[in-house]
Order: sequence, then C-alpha cells, then structure tokens
Amino acid sequence: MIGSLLILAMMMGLILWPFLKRHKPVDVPEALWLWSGGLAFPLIVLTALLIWGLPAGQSMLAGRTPPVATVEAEAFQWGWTFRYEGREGDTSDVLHIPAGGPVDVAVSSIDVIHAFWAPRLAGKVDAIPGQTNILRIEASEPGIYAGQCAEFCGLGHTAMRFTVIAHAPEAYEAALSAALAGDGGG
Amino acid sequence: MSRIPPITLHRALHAVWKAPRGPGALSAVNHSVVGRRFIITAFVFFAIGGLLAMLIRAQLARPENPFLGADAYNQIFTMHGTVMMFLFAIPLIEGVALYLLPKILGARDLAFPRLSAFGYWCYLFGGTIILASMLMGVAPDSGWFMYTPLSSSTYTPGVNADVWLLGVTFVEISAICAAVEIVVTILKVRTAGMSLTRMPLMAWYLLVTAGMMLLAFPPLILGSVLLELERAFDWPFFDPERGGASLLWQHLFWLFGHPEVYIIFLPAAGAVTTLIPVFARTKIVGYGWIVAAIISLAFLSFGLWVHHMFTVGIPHLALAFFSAASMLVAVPTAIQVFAWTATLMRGRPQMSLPMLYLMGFFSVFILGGLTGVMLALVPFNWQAHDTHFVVAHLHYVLIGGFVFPMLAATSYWLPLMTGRMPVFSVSRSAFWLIFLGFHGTFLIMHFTGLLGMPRRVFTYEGGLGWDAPNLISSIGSFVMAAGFALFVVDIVLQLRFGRRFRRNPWGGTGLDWAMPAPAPSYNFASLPLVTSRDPLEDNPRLGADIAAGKGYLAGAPRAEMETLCVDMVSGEPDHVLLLPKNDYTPFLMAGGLAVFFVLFLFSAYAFSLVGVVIAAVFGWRWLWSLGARTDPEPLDAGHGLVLPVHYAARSAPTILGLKYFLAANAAFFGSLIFGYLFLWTTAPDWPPPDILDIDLLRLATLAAGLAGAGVLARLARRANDKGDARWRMLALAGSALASLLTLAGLGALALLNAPSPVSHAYGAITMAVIGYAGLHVLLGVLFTAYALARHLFGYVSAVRSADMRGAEIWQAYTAITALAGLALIVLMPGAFG
Amino acid sequence: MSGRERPVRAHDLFWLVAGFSVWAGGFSALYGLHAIGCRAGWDEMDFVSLSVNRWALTGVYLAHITAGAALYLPLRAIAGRWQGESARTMRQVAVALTLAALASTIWSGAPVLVLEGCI
Ligand code: HEM
Ligand SMILES: [Cu+2]
Ligand SMILES: [Cu+2]
Repeated sequence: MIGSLLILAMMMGLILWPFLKRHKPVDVPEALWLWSGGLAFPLIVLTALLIWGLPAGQSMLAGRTPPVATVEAEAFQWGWTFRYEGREGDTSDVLHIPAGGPVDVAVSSIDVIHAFWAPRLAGKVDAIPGQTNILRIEASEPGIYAGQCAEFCGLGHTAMRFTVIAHAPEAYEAALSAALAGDGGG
Repeated sequence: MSRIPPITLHRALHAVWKAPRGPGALSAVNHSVVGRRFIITAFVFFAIGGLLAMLIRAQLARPENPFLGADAYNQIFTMHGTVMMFLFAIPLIEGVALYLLPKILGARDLAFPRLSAFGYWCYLFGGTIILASMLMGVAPDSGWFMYTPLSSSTYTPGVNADVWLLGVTFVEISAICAAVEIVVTILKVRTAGMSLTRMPLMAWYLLVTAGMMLLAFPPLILGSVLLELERAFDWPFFDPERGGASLLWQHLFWLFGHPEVYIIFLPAAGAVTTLIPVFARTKIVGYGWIVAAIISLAFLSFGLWVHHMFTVGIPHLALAFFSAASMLVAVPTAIQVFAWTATLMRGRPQMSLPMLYLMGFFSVFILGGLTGVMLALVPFNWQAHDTHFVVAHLHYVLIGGFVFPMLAATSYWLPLMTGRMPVFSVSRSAFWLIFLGFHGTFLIMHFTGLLGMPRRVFTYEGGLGWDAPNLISSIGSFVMAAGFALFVVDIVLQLRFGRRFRRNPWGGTGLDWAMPAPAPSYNFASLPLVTSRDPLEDNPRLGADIAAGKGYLAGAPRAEMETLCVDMVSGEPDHVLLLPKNDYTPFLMAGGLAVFFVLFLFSAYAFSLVGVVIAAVFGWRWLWSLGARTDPEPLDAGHGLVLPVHYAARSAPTILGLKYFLAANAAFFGSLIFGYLFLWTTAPDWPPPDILDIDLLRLATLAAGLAGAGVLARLARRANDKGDARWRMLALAGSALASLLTLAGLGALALLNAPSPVSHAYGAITMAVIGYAGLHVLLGVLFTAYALARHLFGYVSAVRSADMRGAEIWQAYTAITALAGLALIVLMPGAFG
Repeated sequence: MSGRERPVRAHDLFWLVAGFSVWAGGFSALYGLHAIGCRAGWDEMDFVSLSVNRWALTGVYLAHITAGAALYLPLRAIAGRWQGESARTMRQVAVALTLAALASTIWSGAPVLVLEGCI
C-alpha cells in the first residue's frame, strides 16, 4: 500500500517536473532511461512481489498439514447446506467449526455458480456445479464470523449470507451435535 | 509541377468524393463519414451507459434503499457493463481508427470502405436490439460476463440472455470487419515513401490492436454461439448434468475478456504517444522501444485470462503461470510510461487542454496499474475478488486508461473535424469536474471494497462502515456526470462559436495536419512523398504543396476515387487502388443479418434463415461488383510513376483481407478445438457411453473429397496463371463438385453416425466440429460456383486473378481445418475412449 | 555480413512475432500438459525422485527456452543482411522482441521449478 503510493508519487513527480517554469529541455539518454526505468525498475519490484506472493499463496491451500475437521458446503439458489464428516444431518446457513486449527471446506453447488467467502477466515473459492473445490479456513479465536456469497448468482445473491460459528475445540463436538439435532438451524 | 490552382483541384475532387445527402446517406461508405458515425454512436451509448451508472449510484447511495429492486438492479448493472464494453469502448476505438487512419497514413480512404460501412450497420443494429430489450424490461441480467449456468435456460428462462448473446455477436461481427479493415489498410494503403518504420506510432498501435482483435474476439463469438445453441436447441455444452462444463464458458469469455482490456488500452496509449511530443515540442523518445513494447504487450495479454478465474479452483501451479505472466505485462507498460516521461523531459511541455486530460490519464492510470499488480497476487486476489475493490480498480483502468486519453484525443482532433478551436474556459472546468468527481467516486471505493462490500449487490445493511463511503461515491459520480455534460456543452459551443483556423493549430508534424480543416472529403488533393517520420516538420509548406497537386495522383482526372497501395515494408508505391462508389449493399446485407438475428431471438429458427439468404444475396452482389471484364491499362500516377490498377496487381488488398479474415476464423476454430479438449479433460462423466463410430471407407472418402477440392482449386489457379482458360474451368468445376459430394458425406455423418447432440456434451461438441466443417464446405461450394460464374462472364484472366486466388485460399483453408477437425473427433475416442 | 545484402521484405515481419509465438506455445503447452497430467494422475507417479508431472513440465519448459534461444542465431544472420531505410529500426525491434520473448518464457514458466502438484 505505502509502496504503491510512493511509486505513484515518484511517477507523478517525474511527469510534472518538466512543466515547471524553470525546466530547461534536458537531453535524457534514451537507452539509460528506458533500460533502468522501463526494464530494471518494474522487474525489481515484481520479483520482490512474486517472491513474497507465491509461497504465501501456497500456504493458504489445503494439503500441507492434516485439518482438524472437514466439512462440506453445498450452495443452492439461495442458501447453503453444511454437512460434517462422519456426522448425520446438516445445518443450513450456519457453519460450525472448531477454532484454533485448519478446517477444510469442500465447496460445491447444485445449481449455478456461487462462492464461499468468510472474509476474516480465508480467501474465497467458487462453488461450481459438477466440481468440488477445497478451501482451508482457520479461526484463531472462537466467535461468530460473517460470510457472504461472492459470485453473482441471480435475484437472491445480495441476501445469500451465512454465518460461521467457531467453537472452542473442547466444546465443538457437543455444540455440533446440538446444532444437528435442532432442525438444521443453528 | 502541376499548374492547376488548388481550388480547381478541390472542386474536381469534391465532385467525385462528396458524401451523399438525404436518404442516400444510407449508401455512404467514405471513411470520414463512417468513422464519424461510429464515434457519435459510441458516445451516445456512453451517455446511456453513464445514465445507467447514475441509477446504480443512486441506488447504492444509502443502505436499504427502496429505489430499485434486485431484478431492476441486475438488469441495470449488466447493461451498464455490456453497453460500456461492447457498445462504447470497442466501437469508439474502431471509429477513431477508421476516421484517422487514412489521414495519418496519407491515403484517401480505407482499403475496403464498404466493409467498414457494413460493420457500422451491424454495430448499430446489434446495439439497437440490446437497447430495445432494456426498454421492454427484458434486458440481460446475468452480469456482463454472463457466467453459465446462471445464463443457461434453466436459470434464465426468458429472452434476456439471448438478447445478450445474439446482440453482442452481431456487434462482434462489426469488430472483426473493422479489424481486417485496419490491418490491411495499415499494411498496404499508405502514401509513397511511408515505410513501416516511418509510420506514425499511432498506426503501429492500431495495427497491433487490430491484430489482437482478430485473435481475441473469435473465442467470445464461439462461446456465444455454443451457449445460444444450448439455449435454443438444448445442446448441453455447459450443463454439468450432461457432461458439459460451466467453466468452459469462463475460459472462452476471459480468453477474449482480458485481451479486450488491452485492446481498449492500446489505441488510447497511441493517442498519448501522439499527443505528448506535439505538446512538448519535441520528438518521441524510443520509437523502436515502443514498437517492441506494444507487440510484447499484445502477446502477453493473451496469457492472462485465467487471472479472472483465481477462485474457481484451478491448481496453484497453473495459477502461478498466470500470476507470473500478469506481472510481466508491467514491463512493456513501464517502457511506454518512461518513453513518455523522457519525451516530456526533453521538451518544453505546455499545459494546454489535451495535455490536461493526459495528466488525468497519468495519475489515474498509474494507480490503476498498481492496484492491478496487487490483484495479480494470488492471495490478495482471493480476498478482494468480487468486491468493490475490483469495481474501483476496473474503473481506474478503464476510465483512466481509456476515457481520459480519448477525451484528450477528442479535444486534439475535434478541430480537424470542425475547423474550429475549443472554448478553453469551459473545457477546463469540464476537466476538473470529471477529474475530481472521478476520484470522489472511485478512490473511496477501494476502501469500501477492502471493508468487504461485495460487488453486484443491489443493497446493503447500514452500520457496516459502508454507508459514508457509498454516499461519497454517489455524490462523486454525480459531479463526474456534470463534468461529462459540460464536455458536451463545450463541443456544442465549439461548433457554434469556436475560433476558426485554417491549418495545423497545435503544431503537429504528421500528415493529419497537412490538410485544411475541416478535413475535405478526399483528405489529400495529391498524395505526398514522405521521407521521414515528421513530414510536416521537414516541409512546413507541405499542406499547400499537397493542395496544389504537387504529389502523386493529383486531382481526379479519371473521375475515379484513387489512392496508392504500397509495399508493406518499404512504402514504395505498388499499385493504384480504385475505391468503390457509394453503395447500398452494405446496409442491405447488414439488414439481412438483422432479420436473421431478430427472428432467431423470437425463436422463429426456420424463418430466420430468410435473413441469411438475404445477406448472402447481397454478399454475392458485393463481390460481383469488384474487378472488370478487360485487363486494365496501367495508370499514370504523376512524377513519371506508372502503376497497375489494384485488380490487376498481385498484392491487392482483397486477398490480404481474406487471409486476415481466415486468421480470425482459425482462432475461432482453435477455440473450438480447445473446447473439445477442455471438455474431454475436465468435465464430469467423460468419456460418454455412446461415441462416434465411423467406418474407415467413409472416412477415407470424406478426406479424399476435402483434399481433392483443395488441390483442384489450386490447379485451377495455376492454370489461370498460365492463361489456360479450359483447365481453369474444368478444375474449378471439379473442385465445386468435390465440395458438393463432401457436403453430402458430412451430412450423412451428422445424421447417421454421430451421437445425439442433446444427450451429452460429447455429442454436442462433436456435432459442432462437424457443423463447422460442413459450413465451410458449403461456402466452398458457393465460392467455387462464384468463381465459375465469374469465369463465364469474363471477369477472370491471368492478370485479373483475384477470384481464382480467393477460391484457392478458401478451399485450402477448408481442407486443412476440416481434416484436422475430423482427425480430432475420430482419433480422440480411439486414443482415450 | 557482406555481399548478400537486401531490403527488408514483407515476410521478414515474421521475426516480429516469432519469439513471442514460441512463448505462447510454451505457455499453452505448460498449462495444457499440467491439466492433462493432473487428470491422468501423473503427479502421483514417481520417476527418479520427482513426479512424472514434474519431469514432463520441466522438459517442456526447457524445450521452449531452447527453441526461443535457437531463434536468435538465424535472426542475427538474416537481420544482419537487411539494408535500406527501415533496416536499422527493424533489426533493433526484431532482436529486442526475440530476446524479450525468451526472457518471458523463462520468467512465466519458472514456477515449474518451485511449486508442486495439482492442488
Ligand atoms: C461514468 C461513470 C461511471 C460510473 C459512476 C460507474 C459506476 C459503476 C458501478 C458502481 C459499478 C458496479 C455495479 C455493481 O457491481 O454493483 C460498475 C460496474 C461496471 N462498470 Fe462502470 N461506471 C462508470 C463508467 C464506466 C465506464 C466508462 C466503463 C467502461 C468503459 C465501465 C464499465 C463497467 C463494467 C464492465 C462494470 C461491471 C459490470 C458487471 O459487474 O457486470 N463503467 N460501474
Ligand atoms: Cu450465491
Ligand atoms: Cu451469489
């Protein structure tokens, strides 16, 4: 963020400088200018970004360490059905997870494309009919987190929200059983 | 050399070139007229899209706003995106290119004036269809990228999505026509001595842009055709229940959609490159660097499409390729920006009006580029994807990288059209309103997005921290709208009260300012010999010399519309292009297509073929009007230069145009093959139970028919080159016959052997490949029949060989693609089944 | 470079697009091969301590780098013979594009060397 503002300021400075009254035409050396500004400068910035970006992305994916829980999120127009590995029944529009560890969410859809997005827990992944995508989420603290369908899916898209409730690990099983016993609600 | 006074020359030329008035205006084909129509229509659509944006911002100004419901909102934002991208941005570029190109290249018109007129009518009719649907309340409502299955008939049963698919395809036809027109014009139709490396950089930009259009639009056209086939005839390309893949649409769409952003950006950058040296009173730094940069940019932009699909669950390694490629485009962009800054440094720039808009461009676009780099990072994209952050980024790039430079270009070139200068005080206020309103709207929207507000929601709850930024955005957008209104006022004032001038008010050095303003209908009274990149600097009196007929092809001594065609690289004159007179054919042919599209929209599928027949009849008539029945005499171009007429020249534009059209067609075919392989490797339930079975004999017959038609057409052309009329006719007839038999064979294949196209995507895509081959063979029959008719009526000779070469090329293309398609659909089940 | 000098001709424009065509080919091949490999389960087959997928991708990557680099030699010879008014700029642009394309091939395929697998 700061970096981009700095770059913006520098570029605008370069552009506006020649408009100053005092400016005399300077015979800037073409090759030096373009090699350094046009090639070296973006390459350095980009390499830095890439080195920072790729491993960070890799670590957000499922697969490294085994998850503490695996759940299934099935989208429909317009709502979510959540199922839990090894458990009967489901909950709708409320997802229960244990806090403090990675949870894998298997996201799919039965009609159009939706997207699973709980901003404070992870990035987002699309719910695509005919395909299952795995997203790893993690809530470090127990609490209630908001989620939202993040791919336009028709009339009910705006209202297609859901909630993620993260429970303390020791209380999770009991809370999940209670939720599954209730009529699918939370 | 010539002693004729300029005014006599002007009268003679104008008599031949003047645009028709009244109802005859429908027949106008001149590039200035057609270009102006494109530009004005595009700005009208901009106003409509802007109005829709105002509705969006009005709705989002407050939380829980009851102003618009979800249905209306969905139609409005979809239409806003669609109108802005397909009916404003692309056509505006085409219009600017068609209007300017002959003027900067030193030509009197484009290579195929009727083609661009045809393109204009396609654009107008297609745009009208889309607009009419909005007035009837059945506008497209699935977002401007129309993801399936939301846009499939199950979830969008009405006519809304069909309007998008058919209307946009109609408009894309015009884009392909314009692209062919632009490429051929730049490569062939220039003035004497204008070598490739003396061309103004704007021409390079447009050349590269048009090349990109040829390759980028076909995937979208293919996607639309497939989706319309699914919606109309239930062929399940995208239906996961029947072996389709909804992601195929996304790939095809973004294969077009990402290059599209650069297609919009490059001409705008071309305008920046043109204007900066003029107002800095110096020459552009790094001509060669810029050419290399834009060619790299064009290629790289095709390697980015998946970056719109980071969240669909593509493996991380595959994403990394695209991530790396999308960062790479920063390099050619930076090269251009540094070439511009270096030019400013070298000169003594003034903050005149066009420059002011360029400053707006710089500040907005650089920020847009930086947020783009942020979005290119996979982890950040997962957070910001589909929030208002993306909306903000998109408008920084589109308005910053396109609208601001186009406003600069408008204020720079409008005087050429009107012969009057802008009214400065009004223009400056317009700029500041637009600039401040823009930042008020979109700068703050980055934060709204980072606070988590998703895009495409028709309302939101209060108290999430989104209220204040949304209100500010809405106010900003109304300020911006006021600015645009003032811009229009400025144009009106300029037309009425602007100060008149005769020539070159800005001190430009290109040929566009070597003509009087307003630009005459024929552009140049004679075509100058160019010896550097800045002809007007070498000879400040060039304009007067041209008007006095001191160049080539002075006046209109033969009462023909003439311009020079040159060698592609060196710019040495090669032949004289005789341009067509005004003609209703393009209008009527586009009208035939309009009949087709409208009837198809109303599901009258069989009747809609009437429209195709109408279009084909006029297409035939169009081709028929080319050429002549006797071998033409060479023409005296002046200064001792005697040149052949284009239809007797080997490198005539027509054949080149056909080749570029086939390049676009090949991109279409390639996308179809990609679709086949994509379904095969990623869709569920593949391979299907029921596959194509074909015996070897039938296959061999088909292959022989295809190859035979190709070879015979080639023999016919060779016989013609040798002046052997008998063999020419026999081989042509043989080629036509072979095509006819192949067509029957393909029909039998489709009806008897191929699996049903509705039960599984396999059947659908197999049928699509057969259909592609069949359509080309059918056209092959028509082409060879046409060449035969031309032969019979005496239009063909060893010198007038275009018809023969056209037929040869078409039959060769058909043979190659149809054989490749057949091989694919026969071998894949064998290899993987 | 003497003797057979000649002007730049239309077919020499090929050199403006050759390098990046190799880049495009490499890019598509890597993307397509990766998808096919994942579908066919090559990432789970090992061969000399690396997965078959990794081998295949690295092979394609290196092949395209080689092809891109190999373009440079004939280009030098041919462009060296160009003469006339356009020759200098065309030569510069063609060489720059060929080298830029090579660098792009190296850069955009580089993730093959560090990242893994089909997730
Ligand atoms: C005149 C000022 C403009 C304003 C105030 C404006 C405003 C907006 C807003 C608020 C949205 C987001 C709607 C939503 O996601 O809920 C949007 C979407 C969009 N705008 Fe604009 N816009 C303007 C001009 C433009 C221009 C000039 C272009 C293109 C050249 C453009 C292209 C788009 C596109 C492609 C979308 C995405 C539509 C979709 O999500 O399907 N806009 N605009
Ligand atoms: Cu949804
Ligand atoms: Cu949604």
